[in-house]
Parts: sequence; C-alpha cells; structure tokens
Amino acid sequence: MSVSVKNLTHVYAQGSVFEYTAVKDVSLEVGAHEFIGIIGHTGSGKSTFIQHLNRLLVPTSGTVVINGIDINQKGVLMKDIVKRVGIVFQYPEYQLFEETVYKDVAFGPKNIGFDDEKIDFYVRESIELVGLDFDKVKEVSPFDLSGGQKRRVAIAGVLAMKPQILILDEPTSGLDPMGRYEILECIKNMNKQKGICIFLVSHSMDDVAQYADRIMVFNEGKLVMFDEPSKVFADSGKIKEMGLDVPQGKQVLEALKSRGVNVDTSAYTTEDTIKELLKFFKKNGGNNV
Amino acid sequence: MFKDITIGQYYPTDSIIHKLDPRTKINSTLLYIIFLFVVNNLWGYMAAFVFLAFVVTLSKVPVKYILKGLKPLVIIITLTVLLNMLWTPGNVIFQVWIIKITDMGINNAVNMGLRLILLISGTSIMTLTTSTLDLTDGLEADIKKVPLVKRIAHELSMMMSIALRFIPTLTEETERIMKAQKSRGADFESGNVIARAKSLIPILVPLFVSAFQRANELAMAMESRCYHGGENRTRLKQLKYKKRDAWAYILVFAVMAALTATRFLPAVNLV
Amino acid sequence: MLRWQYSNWWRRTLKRAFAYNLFYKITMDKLIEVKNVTFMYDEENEPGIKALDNINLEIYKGEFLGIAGRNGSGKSTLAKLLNGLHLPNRGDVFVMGQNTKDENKLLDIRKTVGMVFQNPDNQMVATIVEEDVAFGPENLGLPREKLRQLVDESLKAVGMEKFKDKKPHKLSGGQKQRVAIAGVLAMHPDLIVLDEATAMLDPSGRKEVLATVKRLNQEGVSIVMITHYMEELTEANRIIVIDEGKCVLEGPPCEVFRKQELLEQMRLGVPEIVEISNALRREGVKLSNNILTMDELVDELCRLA
Repeated sequence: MSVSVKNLTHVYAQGSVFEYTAVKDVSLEVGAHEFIGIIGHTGSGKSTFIQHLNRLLVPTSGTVVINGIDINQKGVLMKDIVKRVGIVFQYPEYQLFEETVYKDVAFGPKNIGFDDEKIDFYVRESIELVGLDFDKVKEVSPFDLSGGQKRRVAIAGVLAMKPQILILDEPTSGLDPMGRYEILECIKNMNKQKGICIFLVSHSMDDVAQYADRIMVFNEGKLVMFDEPSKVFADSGKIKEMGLDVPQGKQVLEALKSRGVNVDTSAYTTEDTIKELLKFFKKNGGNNV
Repeated sequence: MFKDITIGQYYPTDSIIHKLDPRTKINSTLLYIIFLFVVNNLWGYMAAFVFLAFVVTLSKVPVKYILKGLKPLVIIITLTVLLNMLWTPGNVIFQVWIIKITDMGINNAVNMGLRLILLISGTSIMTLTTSTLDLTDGLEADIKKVPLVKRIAHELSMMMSIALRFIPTLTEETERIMKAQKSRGADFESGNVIARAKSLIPILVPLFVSAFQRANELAMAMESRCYHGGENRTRLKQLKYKKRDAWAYILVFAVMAALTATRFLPAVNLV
Repeated sequence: MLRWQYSNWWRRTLKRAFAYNLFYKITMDKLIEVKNVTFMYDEENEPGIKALDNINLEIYKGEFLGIAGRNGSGKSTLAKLLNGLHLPNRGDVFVMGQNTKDENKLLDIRKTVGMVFQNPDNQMVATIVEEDVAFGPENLGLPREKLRQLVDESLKAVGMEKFKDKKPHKLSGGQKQRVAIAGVLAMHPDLIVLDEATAMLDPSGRKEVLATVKRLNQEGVSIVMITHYMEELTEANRIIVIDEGKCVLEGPPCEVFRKQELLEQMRLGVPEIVEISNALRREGVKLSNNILTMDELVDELCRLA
C-alpha cells in the first residue's frame, strides 16, 4: 500500500467572490508502513489536504493514487476507498451515535460489507487495540463513558474497518498529559505492530518530533518541507517564520549555542536533549556535576 | 464553505432604504400587504407597482435579486392563477371539454396573480434591505406593542437571535459529522426513501447530542453573565426613529390612501 | 495504596506551604472562601460518587491561582461552585463574605466572579461581537452610555476593538476566547475564572489568551486558571492540584513542579523545561531549584558551562 499524490490543488468556491485556494500544487510519495507527521498552523491547508486521501474532497486538479488506483477515477466506489483509508477527525467522540459501544464500532465494518464473523473479530480486536476492556465496555452506551474513553471508542470505530492507512487529525486535543501519551503510544503500536501507515496531524511539535518517521510541513497551502524530523527542525528559523514552534529541548540547545556554549544542537526530542546536555556537562567541568 | 450561508437574503449596500429603521420597514410592509387586498382593479395594481418600482430604485438592489425571490414561488403563483381561472363562474368565453373559461375567471386570475407577485416582491425588498439582526430587533419592538404577546417579546427575540447565532455553528457541525460518517462508509445517497431516512440517524443523533450539550453550556454561560430574563434589562443598541422615518411613514400613508382611492375609479375589464 | 501516598504527600506539602499561606492570609484580602465543600452530581441515584470531597481553599485578591487536575478530577466542578452555578451539597462557598446559597446575592456574586468556559462557540450569545460583550452589563440594567463605554473599554483591554462589528463565527478560536474575556471584563469583576479556556485552542490561540490573562492580572484582576497543562501555570502565584475530588498539592509553581513523579501518577506532567532541569538535577547537575522558564534554564546552564 502506498500513497502517491501528484500536483494536487484544491480551490474552494471556484468562480465566486469567496474563491480561495486551500491547497496548491502538492506532490508526494508515502510508503506502506510509514509514520508521517503533518504540521502547519491553522488554515495552512493540512485539513483540506487530508480530506483528499479518502475522496471526501475531490481535487480541483491533480491526482491521488492509493495503492496504484486513482481514487477519483470513475467507477471507484467510496466503500472501497474508506476500507483502505480511515480518517479520525478532531474530537471524534462527536460521531458516536449507537446504543452500545459494540454496535457503534461495528457501524463502519458493516457499511463496507464485512460478514458477521469478521465484524465480531475486528470489533473486539480494535477495542482492545485502543486500550479498552472489550467485555467491560461492549454493552455500555458510548454516551456513559468518560471523554477519553469515548475518544478511544471513536478511534476503534475507524480501526475496525481494517484500514491500511489511518489519518488522525489532532487525536489528543483536550486530553490530559497522560491521556495524550496513551493515545500516542497506542497509535505508535498500530504502526509498529500492525504495520498501519499513519498520518498524524498535530499542533504539538514535540509529539510529531518524537513519533514521526517523516514530517510534512504545510504553509499557505503549499507543502514546504517533507523530510525526517532532524532535517525539518534543523532550520529552526524557517519553522518559526511559518508561525510554528521548534521543540523546546531544541530551543534550549540553540540558545546555549548562540551564547557560546559549544553543545551539539542536532537533538530534537526532550530525551535526546537531556542526553546531550548530560554528555556535555559531564565532559566539561566535572566540578559542576 | 457552508459558513457563508446567510439566512434570509440580505443584500448589503448603502441606500436610504437600508438606513431606515427596521420598524419603519416592517410596519410599512404590513400596511402595503393589507392594502394590496383593498385594491380591486388594475389601476390599483399599477399604482402599487409604481410605488414598488420607486422603492426598488431607491434601495439600489438589482432587480434580478427580486426576481430570484419570486422563482421558488412560481408554482404557487401558477396554481393560484389556474384555480382562479377555472373555478370562477361567469360568462363563458370559450370551452374545451369540461374546462370553461369565463370572463370573471380571467379577471380574478389576473388580479390574484398580480397581487401575489406584488406581495412577494414587496416583502423581498424588506428582507433584502434589512439584516436579520435588525429584523429581530424590529420585530421585538413591534411585538412589545401587541397586547397579548408583549409579555413574551423579550423571550421571543432572545430565542430568535440565539437561533441566528447558532445556525453557522450547527451547519458547520453537520458538515463535520457527515464527513466523519462518510469516512466510516455511511451512504446517504442511494437506496429508497426508508433507507435514506434511516441513513440520517448517524448524523441526527450526534447532532442532537451536541446541540443539547451546546444549549446546556450556553445556558450556563448566560447565567454566569447575570442573565435573569428581560426584567430591568437595557440594550446597547436601541432603535431610534430618525427624520427620514417620519418622511417614509408620510409617503407610505399617502400611497395607501391613493391605493384606496383607486377603488373608486371605473374598473378596467380585460375581457 | 495511591490514597495513602496522597495523604502523606498532602500532609508534608501542607507543612511546607504553611508559612507561604500565612503570608497570603496576612497580606491579602480574601475574595473567595471554600469551606468543607462536598459536591455530588446525582446524590439520589449515585450517593457515593463525590465530584468534590471536603474541599477547603481560599482565593485572594490580585493573585493568579492555577488549579490543575486530570480529566474528570473535579476541577471544572470546582469552578462552577465559585459563582454559584453549582451549589455545594455540604459546606459553603463565600464570595466576598456572601454565601453562594443566598439567592438574593447571586447577581452580585456573578458580577464579582466572571467565568470563561472551554468551548468558545458555546458562550457567545449575540451575532455581533460588540453586542456579545454588552450582554453582561445589559443584564445588569446599566444605562446605554455606560454600556457603550464598558464595551469599548473591555474590547480594548483584550485587543479586539477592531473586531467589534464582526460576526463571532468568523473569528479564530483565540479571538473568540478574547471576546469572551471582554464580555466578562465588561462587568468589572474582581476575579476571572478560566475553566479550561485554552483546551480547544491551537498553540497561537493559547498564547493569545495566556498573554491577555497575564496582562489583566498585572492590572489587578485576580485570575483562577483551570487547566491540565502545567506549562500554562508557570506564571501563577500558587497552584492547587486536584485529584479524585480532593486537593492533593498546593504551593508556588517551582515547588509543585519538583514533585514530577507524584504529578505523573495523577496523569499530569510538568512543563518541558522543568522536566529537562529535573532530569539534569537528578543526574547531579547543580541547577537551582526554581527554574520555570527557558531563559532561566539557559542562564543557569551558561553559568555552569
């Protein structure tokens, strides 16, 4: 499974006074099991972009090819697209509607025509994959769950369709730090253990830096960078220009460097920053340690 | 881009009609509608048409916007005209099978057709020149004068303005939920009526749940901002009649008098 | 097990915070007093489930108090008790000496304690920004000239005067929350409670709101900031951590942040800068104990290098 986007442009309300180009000439290739982070400030075009990956939006020009199939071609069924590409929108708990958690998670698989046996298996598997106890929650109304649990059920609802590509738009917003960590770890597992290709849209540079293999940076509708985290964050001036932050650890290292402390500024996760600082302070001036 | 929908059909521009107090416009429109039913011959409709044309010119609203307002009502107008033409007794002018067309029938049909067209264009010119916000304010002020309902004038207008405030929020929400369910393979387009109605459940349930939650939160926010009904409440924006409103009222009264006077002119019979 | 640890920590923290609290009690006026408050959402059907369990706290004039806690810890419930939106099942809440249970004083209390909520879309009443800001003072029945003045002055205080004729749904999240703050400000409150007001905003919106709140605090408005992001509380004078309906920790930020492990047990964290300095300190780097910001950390490290 691979994603290949060529010269994708999307114009809203073409020909009217509200005409607005949200995505401009985006081309990219993503491999089957990658973990992609997507960053860009609000209105940079990243939300518009991801909606093209399962044909919720049709490009004004350009093509989206998933696993060799141009999804905007005539005769390609929506059912067959969503089977492969799942999207979890921001605050997905607002899409829950069934009487029980089981039924809600089974909604997607049923729509795309899985048989009952398969549905049963996948529903159980996905509920467990998002870290909930299947036997405890299956008969519970989703509306009786806590906020964090609702969100997991909603993610399970998309997972149960067995997508090979999973797009998550800000899946951690509004959760407490531990809730955030748990969801992110769970997404990492989907990628590492099940080999699902992940697109994670996030406002948190630290999260993206820590989890993604490669990062897409959107600015004013254009894909301005698409590279490994170390390279994306290498030029922090450029990132800041686009109204984005650089991971805090990296900022510390750069500030030190600019004040004449000779540290290596290549680290971009908190963990590596701490390691680098320790290495530096243990090597130089043992009296301070 | 659902966000840009505006309710009503306000055409923003700067004209003397736009600047009139909303109460002036609402009251004048009401008078105009009433007097359209007083008019009973072609002279009257012609007078009303001249008056309307005058107002439209002053309002700077392109005529095509007013015609657009008529479009959805074409069926109703045609139906009214046909019914009047076919079911009015009188001297038969010609007859095909059991369909009889009478002279009175033609007269009635023309009268009703003109009346409807003038009525709809008249109301359109009001909604085209008054923002929904001003409309609610104007209606509230008007309702306060009506004996039986004046006690609930504040509640009514508060309800209207909150509804207006939440229309964009809820359309956006609907769009979002639809996209989410579509991504879960929901199909809203195929199947028979029952299947389609059923397919709306995954949209309606979350929409209602969220609307209730929003209502609950809004009530709390309003309460914590000291809301306690309309009692002792003042308003930042208060409607104030200006000189031009007085002139508008004088003109409208004069025109209404003229419309009444047309009743006494000799009737023009088409046939 | 967890309970035991908490109470032990609590006792120790109390001792340490004692001198600090004493300072507040002598030098500052009490604005709010929460006394032995227990709150249950559904006492009849779920009698054992307490959203808040015997809470005691005081809020002083001019302070910036942070209240932190995980999702479902009871922190938002506490917020709603501060202006009488909820009434305690047991215990009392006093605002400027007036009990929130006294219905005749409710308008006064709500005028004193303004509230900004989480979802910016669900707290705007009017279809035009300036009319929304006027909503509170309108309810107080102020004369029209006064309304005009209050609206202009509050919009200016949050830097939104240019948007006064705009429709709220055309604004960004951060702008909407600033309008909501202006709406509260227009009633000249002594205290503004922000109940997770930044939770739904993007980083730039969050920064806008934090900067506004900080400025207002400097101008003398007391602030209660409720959040689960500790990095928003580095500016606070005092932080109270709530978990399972109880106050578990209290003290100035640097003191609270030093208990990283305990905070993590309560599903919270510490700001990243503090995390880095705590880690370095644990490994023996001689950093001072009260580092809160990036500049402070960099200064310290430069000193050591």
